[in-house]
Amino acid sequence: MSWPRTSDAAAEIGTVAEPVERELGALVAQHYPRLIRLAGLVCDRTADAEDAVQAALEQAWRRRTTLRDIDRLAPWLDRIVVREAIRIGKRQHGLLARFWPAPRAIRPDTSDDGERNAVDHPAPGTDPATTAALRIAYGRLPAPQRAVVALHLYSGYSIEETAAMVGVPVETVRSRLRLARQKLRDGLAEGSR
Amino acid sequence: MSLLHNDDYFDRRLHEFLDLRAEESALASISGEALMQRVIARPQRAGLGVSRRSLFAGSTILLILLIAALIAALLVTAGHAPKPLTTNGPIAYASGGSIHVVDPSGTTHDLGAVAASSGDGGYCCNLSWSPDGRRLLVVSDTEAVIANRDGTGAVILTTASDHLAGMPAWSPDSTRIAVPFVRDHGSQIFVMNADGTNRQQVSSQVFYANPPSWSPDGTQIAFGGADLPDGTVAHLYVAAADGSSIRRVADAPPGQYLSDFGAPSWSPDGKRIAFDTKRYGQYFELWTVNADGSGLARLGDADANGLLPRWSPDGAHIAFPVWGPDTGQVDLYVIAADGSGLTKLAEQVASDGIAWSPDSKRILFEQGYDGQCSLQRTYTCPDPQDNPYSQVLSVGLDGSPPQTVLSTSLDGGLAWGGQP
Repeated sequence: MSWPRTSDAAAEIGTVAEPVERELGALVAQHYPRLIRLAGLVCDRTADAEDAVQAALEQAWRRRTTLRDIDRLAPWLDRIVVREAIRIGKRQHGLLARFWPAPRAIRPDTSDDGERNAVDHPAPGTDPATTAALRIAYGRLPAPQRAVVALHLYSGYSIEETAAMVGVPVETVRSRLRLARQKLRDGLAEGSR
Repeated sequence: MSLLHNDDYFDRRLHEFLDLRAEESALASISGEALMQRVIARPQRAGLGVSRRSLFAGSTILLILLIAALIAALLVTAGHAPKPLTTNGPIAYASGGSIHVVDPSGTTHDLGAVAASSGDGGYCCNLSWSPDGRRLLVVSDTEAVIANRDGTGAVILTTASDHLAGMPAWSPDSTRIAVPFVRDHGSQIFVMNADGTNRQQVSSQVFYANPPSWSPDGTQIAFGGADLPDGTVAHLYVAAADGSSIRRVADAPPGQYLSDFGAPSWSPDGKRIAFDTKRYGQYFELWTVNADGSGLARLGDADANGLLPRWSPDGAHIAFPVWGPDTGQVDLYVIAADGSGLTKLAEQVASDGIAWSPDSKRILFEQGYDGQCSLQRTYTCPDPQDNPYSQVLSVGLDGSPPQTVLSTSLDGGLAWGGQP
């Protein structure tokens, strides 16, 4: 395949000397803004979201000579990002949890990039109490449930597309969506008391 | 009817929140150019990954063939009666939504889910055998359950309003459990009977307390804790198991910016405690200190990035993973209790579980994608979506190659118990 080569996209990432880097720059410029938002909805920490996006772009770059269907590139990248983000989320419960402490008060992120943690940002333009309640409830959702919320409710993929991207049956997606919505609704109700 | 019961209202709020969170991620993340530089930098490490992975794959295949031949020969010559392979007890692991127990004869028992997780996609489970080898602690993202070795007699330790803040710890006599619970936006350590009764808080003076470790005589509990929510004023504490007293046994040495003291492991003779800290919020360091607070000493190299120290049951060694901050690779190391003889035992440790054998001769660990590719992200790794790869190995302290124990991917932790 040949990657999209838009001069605007290349300009966004600065001047690069090598044609290969120009191609990669165009790829990043075109997809990074969407991918980082998607990953941010699944990962606890911004650094993890960046890792997930990086993994997706590396795979895309590695396979650039074999991927032919440009129209399928975006969902293909989205799929990798979400699956990577789920893996990172699951890993947070295991041995390596201390590398990526969850954004809970019990294990505050004291790393240098801690101030970039998305959950620490204020919520301009929305009701603070509602946002705070949803933040807490959303933070408690397991990564696989966040993934289907992100793909279906945020990115607009159909249930069937979401199932294919996450790699689970359609009924599992419906179940995860139902559970996630119920937990978020409960969290909102709890926060409003 | 409350607005919250109105689907349109809820959906609007939810979509507003998702948009907000996504935008926050975009604002907080590095620039596209910076990410591109990270992508470009990766191929430079690929060469090392090729040789190591190829070497590992080749040696593993040979090893598997040798083990298979050996097992076949043993079956032919030793008849059909399964005999214990070692004096060690069963291995428990979580995979495929179930808890499995492999007894010393090699027979695997499926115990079912044992502990419920937070719905479809929830996490399950971390595992820990009771010191007497009779019961298994199963901890999901929502509850802690204790069951017999065959999965019967399950007792749920937690209530619906409890939120676990880490892995609970068995008392040495197997009758009590120390559990970190979320409390007031921080966390505190509680001790309860192994049936969930008689819950009592033992930590104090701290905003949050990290998961605990019991002293071998069962009278004290060590835990890392921080005074402030940002974790910057952190210490190692020892509390009486009945909650009657608490004392600080380790602070950061002057001039050292250590935070997040945690993962204490008490030496079997009860004299010293190994634990880890973070330096500048990023790098891990290992330390030991006498139980009375004297003799604070760094264990190994300050730049080694070791964490989660685990004392061997015989007290002779300490095993720990080492995280490479540049590569993301996690390797398994062991060091003598006196700080000598640092040795790398295995590479590419995955995300869940390291367990000493009860006879202190071997260490069980998971090796696979999370250690090899998801963290390291070399160009040589196959697409994890196309070719899932993970296995459980055991490695001895004698420098011999690791042996495959389970060819399966884990959902959660590993536990190696003793015989009752």
